[in-house]
Amino acid sequence: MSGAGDVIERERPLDPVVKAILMLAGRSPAPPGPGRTGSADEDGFTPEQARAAFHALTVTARSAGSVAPVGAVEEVRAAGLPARVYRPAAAGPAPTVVFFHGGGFVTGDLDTHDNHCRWLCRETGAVVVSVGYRLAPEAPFPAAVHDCLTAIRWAAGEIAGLGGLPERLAVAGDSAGGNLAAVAAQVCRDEGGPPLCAQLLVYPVVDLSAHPYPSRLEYGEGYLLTADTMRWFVSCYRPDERSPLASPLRGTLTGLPPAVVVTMQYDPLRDEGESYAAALAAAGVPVAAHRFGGLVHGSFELPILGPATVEAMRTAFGSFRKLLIPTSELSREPLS
Amino acid sequence: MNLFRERGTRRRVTKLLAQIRPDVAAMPIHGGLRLEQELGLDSLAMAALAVRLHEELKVDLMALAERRQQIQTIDDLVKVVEELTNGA
Repeated sequence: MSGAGDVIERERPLDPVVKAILMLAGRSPAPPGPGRTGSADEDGFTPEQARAAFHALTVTARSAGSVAPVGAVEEVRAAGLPARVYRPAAAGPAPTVVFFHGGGFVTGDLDTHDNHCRWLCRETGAVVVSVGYRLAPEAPFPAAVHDCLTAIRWAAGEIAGLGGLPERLAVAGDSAGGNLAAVAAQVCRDEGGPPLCAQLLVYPVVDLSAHPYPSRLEYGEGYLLTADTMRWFVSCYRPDERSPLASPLRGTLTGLPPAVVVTMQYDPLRDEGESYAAALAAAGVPVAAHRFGGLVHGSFELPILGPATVEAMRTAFGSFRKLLIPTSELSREPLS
Repeated sequence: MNLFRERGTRRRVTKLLAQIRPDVAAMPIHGGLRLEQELGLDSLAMAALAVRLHEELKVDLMALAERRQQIQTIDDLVKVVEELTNGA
C-alpha cells in the first residue's frame, strides 16, 4: 500500500442488478436549470422532491436481505447534531469512525445510509458514528464542513463513552460525504486535531470546479448520477470552488492520515477520485486505491446489493480495517 | 389455480405503491391512473417500486426492467406483474 499504482483496473460490463435498476430508473429526476438555487423550477422540482426520491430508492425499497446486522444501534445528539452510533457485535474497545453520508450536499440522511454504515461497522469492527449535518440550499457552504468538524471533535471528546480506542479515530464518507471527510482530514491536520488515524473516501467528489474529467463526460448521463444533477447540487451548495474547504484536491496533502480511496468504473466522479488518490500518494500519504468494475456511483446505497457490490464493500472496508486496527491486532481472523 | 389472482395481484401492487408514495393511500385508485403523471412516481420511485415487487412478489427485476416502457398505468403494471409471476 503506497501509491496510486494500487488502483485495481477491472473493466467489467455493468453488474446485472445495477443494470436493471438503471433501466428502471431511466434518467434521474430533472433538476432545476442553471442559476436556480433550490427553488422549484418550471417543472416544480424542488430539493424536497429530490430528497423524497432518494429516500424512496434507498430506504423504502431496501431489501431486508441486504441489511447487515450489527451489535447495537443508538440515536444520539453529537453536539446538537442528529447522529446514529453503530456498535460492532464483538465486545471491547474498538476504533471509531465518524461517517458523513452522500447526497450531493442536498439530499441524504441517517436513514439513506443506514445500511452503508451497518456494513462499515460489521466489516471493520469499528464503532461508526453517522452524522446528520445540515443540507443545502437551506444551509449552503461551508455549513456542512463546520458541522462535520463539530461532530469529529464531539466524537474525540466522547470516545471512551462510545466504546472507542484512544487514538484510533478516523473519518469516512461517500460522494459528498467523501468530500467532507477529505476536507475534515485537512482541517484537523491544520488546526490542531483531533488527530485522525485514517480516512475512507468512497466515490468522493473532490473537485467542485467544472473541470472536464473524461469520466464526467463519458458517464455523465445514464448512470444514476448525471452531469445535470451534479451541476444542480453545486448550485444549491454554492461553494467557493477554489477553496480547499470545497475542493480538497486543491489543498495541501502532505501529512494527511493514510487513506483508502474507492472509485467505480461507471461513475462520472471516478477520475477526480483517482486523481486525489494519486495526489495523496505523490504527497507521501499511504494510499490504497480501489477501482471496482461493473459498478456505478452510489452502488453501496442501492436497495439490492448484488454479488459484485458485496465483494466491493468487503474489499474496500477490509482495506480500511487494516488502517484502523493496530498492527499488533492484525493477525486476528478477518470478520465474517 | 386461483380464480381471483388478478384481484390479489392488484391489491398487493396497490399496497406497495402506497409504501413508495404514502399519499397514494388517500387517493381514489383506479386502474387507468398513470403512474408518472397522476401518481407522481418519478424515475427513482419507479425503480424503488420495482425492487419492492421483486422482493414481495418475486418478480424478475431484469424482466421487469425490460418491459418498463410498456408500464404507464396501474392496469399495465398489474398485467406485467401477473405475466412475470405467471399468476403465482
